[in-house]
Amino acid sequence: MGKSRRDKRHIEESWTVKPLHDHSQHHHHQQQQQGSDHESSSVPVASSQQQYIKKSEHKPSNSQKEEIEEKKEESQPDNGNGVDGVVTRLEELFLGVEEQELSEEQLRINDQLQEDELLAMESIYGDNTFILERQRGLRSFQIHIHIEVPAELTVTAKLYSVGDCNGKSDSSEEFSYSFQVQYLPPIVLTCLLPKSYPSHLPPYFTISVQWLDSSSISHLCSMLDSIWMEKPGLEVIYQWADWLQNYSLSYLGIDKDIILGPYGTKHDEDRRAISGIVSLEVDVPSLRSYNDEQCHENFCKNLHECCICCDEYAGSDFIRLPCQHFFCSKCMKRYSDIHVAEGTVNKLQCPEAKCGVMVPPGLLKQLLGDEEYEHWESLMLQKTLESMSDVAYCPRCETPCIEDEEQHAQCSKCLYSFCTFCRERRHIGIVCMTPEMKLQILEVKFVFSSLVFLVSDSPLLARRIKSAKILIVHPTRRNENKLKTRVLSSLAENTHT
Amino acid sequence: MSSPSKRREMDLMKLMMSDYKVELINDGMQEFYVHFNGPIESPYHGGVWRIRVELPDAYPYKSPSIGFVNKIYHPNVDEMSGSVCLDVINQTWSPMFDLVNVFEVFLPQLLLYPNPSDPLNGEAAALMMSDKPAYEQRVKEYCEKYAKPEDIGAAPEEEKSSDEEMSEDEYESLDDEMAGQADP
Repeated sequence: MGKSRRDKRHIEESWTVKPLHDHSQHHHHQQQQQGSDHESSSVPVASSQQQYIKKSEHKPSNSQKEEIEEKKEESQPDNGNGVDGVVTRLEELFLGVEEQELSEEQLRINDQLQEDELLAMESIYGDNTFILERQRGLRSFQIHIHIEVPAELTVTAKLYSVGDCNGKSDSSEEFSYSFQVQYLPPIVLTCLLPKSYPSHLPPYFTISVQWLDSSSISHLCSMLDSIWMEKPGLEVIYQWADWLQNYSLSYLGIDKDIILGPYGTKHDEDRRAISGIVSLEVDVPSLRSYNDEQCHENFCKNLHECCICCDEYAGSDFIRLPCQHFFCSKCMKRYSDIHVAEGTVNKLQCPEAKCGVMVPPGLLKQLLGDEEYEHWESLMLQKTLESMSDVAYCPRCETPCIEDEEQHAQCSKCLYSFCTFCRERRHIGIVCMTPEMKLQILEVKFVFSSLVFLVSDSPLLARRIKSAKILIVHPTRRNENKLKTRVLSSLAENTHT
Repeated sequence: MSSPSKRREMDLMKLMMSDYKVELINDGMQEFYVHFNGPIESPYHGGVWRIRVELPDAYPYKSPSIGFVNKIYHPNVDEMSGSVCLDVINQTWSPMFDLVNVFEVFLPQLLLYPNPSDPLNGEAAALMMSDKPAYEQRVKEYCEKYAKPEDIGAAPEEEKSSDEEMSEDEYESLDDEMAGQADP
């Protein structure tokens, strides 16, 4: 799925492509993931689910200035992120302007125009418009403007050496990291409509961008001002949104590359510019994961053809392997089932010809189910042991044991110590014997105990005994073993040659 | 569970579109015959074979079985039945391979580079390892004897019979070398 490796402690390994679900769950999950991988990158930039629930924290108070002070303390990082920050700034702007007194008639007209414009915006931008709680009775709303990202846009993060906040860098000290994106977090335009909009005043607004610094954003703000000045008195919000969507990147001179930063510079002159950049460690992963999530969502929505079965399914019905190859879940399931049933577990690799990446166990567990997964595990163990050549099976209990250099093994289960060649009890100093040889020895013993020197049918044995120069004595129980050992060892010596 | 029939259709279609002569046995798309020419740089060059392809239920997760209907001298092909050693196919098979692959890549590779470690025709394997020129000679002999166009019911190359009285079916029933032919 192109996601970063999960810590093994996470029980939930989500390999299946998730079904489409609504926005709020989506963001929540994203934050969960981000929380585990790196320090929390809470740069929500007025994330959607907060809007509807948030109630404006008005406290009835005498002095308006006091209100602002309180708000400022409550709000999050003072670069104005989060809804609180935006609301605060809008308040600031509002209170900084003295509105004209208007006639009832004019107020009514403005009100109607505002309502119409909001409806229009909602129908154009759909799910990306958010009507906010009225502030002081004034309409407030937000538009998430998704820019169409030019092909092959890269985002570059530059790391300068210490003591270099001004951007003046010794090129040998510079290090940069770039990555391509197809999706960028939206430009968020938040507006507060004064009573004299559109007749006399433009809307109060803030622009929040997660990937631009405040200086760049303030240029955008200035542009919005100019747009209003071109035709004051007319509704302007659509022009603003449209311009931001189609011309903002080129206006800032961004063609193929966005350079993150500069960090550490504080540019607070235009209070309407809210920058979301925090630090490299936060921004790079945040932008990457936003991009990945959007690519993934896009993939899930569309139909794709599975190369194995040639059927078409929505992206959400596909499973993507670590090598990035993807196949429909039906095929993957069938593929896994067949190989486990046949015992050909070594062939459980990516179906793509010549890819060779093994199907990960976590995924197999999901595809096979618990019972068959266990079956797979035991097959894997078997195959692995078979491929190891120094494995011997205990003659007594069949447990696999590891052989040492002297052809000896000891079973860890029943503790039987045996020779891996003849599978008998370990015999130090005595060479292994074939079954034929063992049979011959039995005959010799018989000969000895019956006190008759009866040479066995084997002329070979007879020759050997003769050549062994063994003293034949009356075998008592005591010396019988000794004799036997001597015979055996000399026989062994002779056969060894 | 039914195997993906769309995939079978596609593969068969692709095979036919690649100019291979395909004869379906029934409408089930399970079994069919394909005419195959010996690869150019091998001793099999010039020979033509009728190949029986059987798609198992589990296709494409499992490889098809391949059999030579008319005789061929090859270490990995059983001389009597014409079946190609399954292991050899299975080792390299992937669900992404299709029938065109089998005839364009797999079979030519097999004929060019037999695998002596897994022989179905021990004699051929041994001969190939011990006396390569003799092996190649034998291969050519077999081609002459059993792998001519008329052996597979194709139109004869020479001007032997201009009369079209003999139908294709009759040609086939005359030929003893046919193995595993489905009843008409």
